[in-house]
Amino acid sequence: MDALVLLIPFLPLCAALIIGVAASSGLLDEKASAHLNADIAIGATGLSCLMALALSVGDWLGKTSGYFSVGQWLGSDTLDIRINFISSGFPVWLAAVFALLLWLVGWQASHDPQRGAGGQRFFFILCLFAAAIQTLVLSANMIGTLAGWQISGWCAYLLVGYAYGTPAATGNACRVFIAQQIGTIGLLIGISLCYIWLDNVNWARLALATEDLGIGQATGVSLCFTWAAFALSAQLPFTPWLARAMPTAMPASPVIMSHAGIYLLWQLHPVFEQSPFARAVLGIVGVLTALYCSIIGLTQTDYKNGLAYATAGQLGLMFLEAALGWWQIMAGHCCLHVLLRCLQCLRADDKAQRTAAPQIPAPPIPSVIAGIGNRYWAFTSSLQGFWLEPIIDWALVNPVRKMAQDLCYFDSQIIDRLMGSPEPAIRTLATFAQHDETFSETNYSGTPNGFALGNGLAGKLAQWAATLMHGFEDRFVTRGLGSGSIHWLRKMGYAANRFELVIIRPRYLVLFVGITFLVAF
Amino acid sequence: MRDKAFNSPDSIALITHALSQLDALLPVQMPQQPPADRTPLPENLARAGYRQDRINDHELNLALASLPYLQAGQTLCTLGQQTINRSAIYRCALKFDFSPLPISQLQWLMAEQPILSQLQTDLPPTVRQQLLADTSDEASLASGLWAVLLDKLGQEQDGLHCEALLDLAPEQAEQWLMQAGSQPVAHEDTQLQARLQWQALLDKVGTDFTLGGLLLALSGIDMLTSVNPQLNRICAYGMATKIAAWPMPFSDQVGLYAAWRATLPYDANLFLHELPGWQQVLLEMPDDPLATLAYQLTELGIAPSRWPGYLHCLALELPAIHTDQVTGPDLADYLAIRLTLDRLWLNQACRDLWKVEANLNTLHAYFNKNLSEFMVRQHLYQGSLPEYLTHKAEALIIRSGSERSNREDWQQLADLIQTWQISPIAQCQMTHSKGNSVWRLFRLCQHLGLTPSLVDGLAREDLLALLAVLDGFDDPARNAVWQAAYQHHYSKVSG
Repeated sequence: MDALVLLIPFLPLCAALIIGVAASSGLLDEKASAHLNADIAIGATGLSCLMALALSVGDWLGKTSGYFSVGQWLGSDTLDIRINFISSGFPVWLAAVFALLLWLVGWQASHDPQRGAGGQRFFFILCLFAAAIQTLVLSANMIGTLAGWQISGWCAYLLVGYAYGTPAATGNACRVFIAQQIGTIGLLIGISLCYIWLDNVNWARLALATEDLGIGQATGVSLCFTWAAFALSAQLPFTPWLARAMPTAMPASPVIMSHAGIYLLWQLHPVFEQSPFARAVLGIVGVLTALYCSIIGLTQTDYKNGLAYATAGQLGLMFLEAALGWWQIMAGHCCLHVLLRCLQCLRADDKAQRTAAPQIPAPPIPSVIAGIGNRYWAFTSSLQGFWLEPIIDWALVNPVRKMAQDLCYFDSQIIDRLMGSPEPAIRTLATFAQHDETFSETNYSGTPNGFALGNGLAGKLAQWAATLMHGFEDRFVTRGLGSGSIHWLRKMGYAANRFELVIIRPRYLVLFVGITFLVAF
Repeated sequence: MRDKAFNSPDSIALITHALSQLDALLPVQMPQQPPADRTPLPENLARAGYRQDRINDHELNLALASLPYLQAGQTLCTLGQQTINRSAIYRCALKFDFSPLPISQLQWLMAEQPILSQLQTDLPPTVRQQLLADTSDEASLASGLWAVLLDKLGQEQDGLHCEALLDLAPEQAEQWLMQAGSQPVAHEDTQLQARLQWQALLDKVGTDFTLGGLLLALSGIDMLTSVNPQLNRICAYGMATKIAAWPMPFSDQVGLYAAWRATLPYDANLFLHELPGWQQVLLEMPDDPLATLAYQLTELGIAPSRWPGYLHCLALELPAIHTDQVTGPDLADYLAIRLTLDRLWLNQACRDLWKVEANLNTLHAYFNKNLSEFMVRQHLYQGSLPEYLTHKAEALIIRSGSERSNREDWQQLADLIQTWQISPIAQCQMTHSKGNSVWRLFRLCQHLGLTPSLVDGLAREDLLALLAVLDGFDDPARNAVWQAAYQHHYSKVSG
């Protein structure tokens, strides 16, 4: 019975490989095989769903042992990473819900007449995403979870950037991906700490060994995983990524992904029990996110954006439930909520439903807000999402971008020149203008002085005066100083200005201060 | 004082008149929603229909015959017993693609794919059999045809790589200059050409595009990616579909623009995006949307005579505009908001790039003094440069940004671009380049079933005549034929 758990991620993975290999090798024509791709994807996700449901029933009947290991993947000294899966409890139930939803997504996509030529790519990503998210949820060790996280992050990137011809899609995809990667840093540090302090990266070992951890260690581990869960579940300050991910080829995918953060909390719940501080952080951020999303949701004019903020708000409440120690309620809330939101996403994607559906009237403004409903500052704050993204851009993205430009300049102006670059072998001519100047009779030196031209008496007088002054300057100033001196002085002036501009930028001051501290300590 | 000027009856009357014209123009000129009966069938779909036997040769012939201006029956040349008339070329052009290839793509195809050692892969089986009737050696047939065409059109067999232009021998340069004839080559001539191009581009502001379009053409920065999300968010409040619970304060009493203007001082985006001069813009913005339009257009340096055209271009760029929802005063609200956002973001882009404010006159003055920069930027963002020049241009823009700080490099690059344009390698100036005439005739001759020996019997003028027919049968002409063919098909089916 336990072995069924292996098939849940494995079947979609096989489907992804079949579609991917067929597409890349040109075995199947994209248009001709559109139905075949859809059938493979629906078949694999459907079977995966059946396996997950069967395992859930088996778990409910007490027929599973809770653990299944395929074998060792990597072993070195005390490090023992196995390909192992969890076959009972909340992960299995969550996997069953995810599998059902992903099958529904595939089924709906196969009936979308506009999917057309992009079907192959879509179904490949769908199957890969299904395999990754199931690996994330079912893996019995942290490395498997990390692998599932990474692959599902890449899939989210590909899905959000599905219409890669539009700048908005690629921009959104980058932001979603970066938010996920920031979370990955927390996960990596958390896994490292677990290995350092417990010599193990299995979830079960972590649950058993919590008493071995001091309160400081438990808090450290908890906060690292909390950081990862905040990023994955779109909690503050990561909330905007969920709204950015909604205009995707598969809006259910970010909703499913965001609920995987709750799974992380559930796996860590014995550690959280040891750390009141980490639970306080969970609760505070959860409440703040729920409030934030509630207020912003009031000014959303786009259905999918509204869904995104509603999802993040509910996830905030789940974090609050975790903080209060209501783990079972959190687990139930998570399963039911992901089901509801994904069905809403599927309905939003269904064009026939959308056009046939009557206009949904705007809900009444809550009484709490009614008092400040006509305040411009309150409305603007809500409309602009409390400027969370612009603040992040202003504080982090823009300085990094400018620093990158500076490094690029440094690379081309300093490094490249130091390293040297090949020159043309003969270098006789690079432009026809050079040829014209060098070989033609009408070269620059032969042309009459075109410094100034004028018509009429006044114009001619001005022209002569200008020519006289130019001649004076040319003979007594320019030549007196040397023909290249003014040119070099100007260049030095520009360089000095540039250096001054660079040196007064705050990021370099911060950098210098940082270097000073490093040297001092 | 300024507020009064923008509220002057003349300005308001001009704006009102321009907006009233928009009401009449928008329904027929919306590019997003062309009328269904005027929509041409995309050619790839039409060709797919032919491949699926929905349209056959007979229907194509009927369609060609029904359009007398095409002169389908006219004979172009005779080769022994074979006569080539216009309809044969038309049929080929309808069924197959005869687009020219960039020289770099042709060189790549010649190096990587056997295009000169086998017949074209899209040849119909009957034509293939006709070509291979006398010989079974595809390679000699294809390479022989290529060689004959090169010879007829006076092209050299060996291809020259683009980057060879960086290291020209004087003899080579002189030979090409002779071929170029009266093309300008001296640096001053290049500058003169650039000045004319700049003026032509400037004249299009207010007729073909807005100042944002000019920025896009010269910097690749699409300001709409910054403006549209904000505009969408605000405009959704004015649309019929209101799904937000929290309405914009007082918007139903004072109008969308006035309500938005009142929220603007509380919007931290202006500060966080470091938009230059936003405080000044806020202070000077009139309360009335019509006066705001006049104010912003004046500040952007748009001459009053161009206001109607500019507003027309602007209205066409409004996101998700539906003419039945946006009319009369509402349109003024949207345009006033858009123009204000435009100016704020344009100011930022112009300041970052050229250290000038977003004003047509200022930009005119700037680029008049920095024509090399204009030339480089225009060609780069048109995407017409070969890779080695694109790389140089991008590196220079990152390094210098403006011609002010590195004039010699910009001038050198502008000269390189001019040299590229004049050289025989660039196909744009040379009609009979390999990627253009030779390649297209190479394909056409194969589709017409002409062997190298037959082509060798043709005069150069005959080949050019074939090419002229192919050129004359452009997209609109082909669309007309496809439409007529489909009409014949469906009249037959329904009849």
